[in-house]
Amino acid sequence: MDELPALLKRVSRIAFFFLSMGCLGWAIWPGYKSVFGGFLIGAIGGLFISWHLAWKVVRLGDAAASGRKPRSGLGFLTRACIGLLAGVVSVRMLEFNLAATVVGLITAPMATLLLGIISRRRYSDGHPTDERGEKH
Amino acid sequence: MAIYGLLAAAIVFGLGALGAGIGNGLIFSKTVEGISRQPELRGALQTTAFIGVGLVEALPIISLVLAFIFMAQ
Repeated sequence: MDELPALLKRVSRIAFFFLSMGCLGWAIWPGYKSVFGGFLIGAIGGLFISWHLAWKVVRLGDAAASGRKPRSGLGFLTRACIGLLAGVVSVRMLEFNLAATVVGLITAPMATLLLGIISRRRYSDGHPTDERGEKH
Repeated sequence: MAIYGLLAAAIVFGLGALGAGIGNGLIFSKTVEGISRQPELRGALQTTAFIGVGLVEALPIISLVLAFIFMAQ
């Protein structure tokens, strides 16, 4: 069972959907350019953060399964710097809306949470009993 | 006013990073422990860790962005 690549693919699909909606909003309402631009840059940053986190989780799982010590950490600093880069580019350089950038940054984690809850519920619906025979 | 901005940035990012450090440590320690015990459950455990860490890290990343914006004011 290898669920993580499938989950990541679904998260990427949702993030790309929101990115396309942001582009559409920018085209339809040019007066709200700062809001949609901030959202777009934040969503791109959030997507990169999700990809990097998935890569690190897979590497850590491989190291734990093979019994060797992981050579690097979890990469929080890299992900924080990606978020900071998105924020600085959006707010300081391009002067987009800060709140929209933050909302864009949390788009991918929220999609991950919702998809994870849905897939867990679907998985438990398909398997009414666990290994000990208890009902959920 | 600049000192207040620096103080706000320090508090926001410091507390956010503290919570994320504790949360990440708990999640990954249990994940590694679970994978070591049952390697056949690696896929499910990695997915659960990914969901948990994604949520835990969202807050400090946002707080870092806010801290740098506060620092400039």
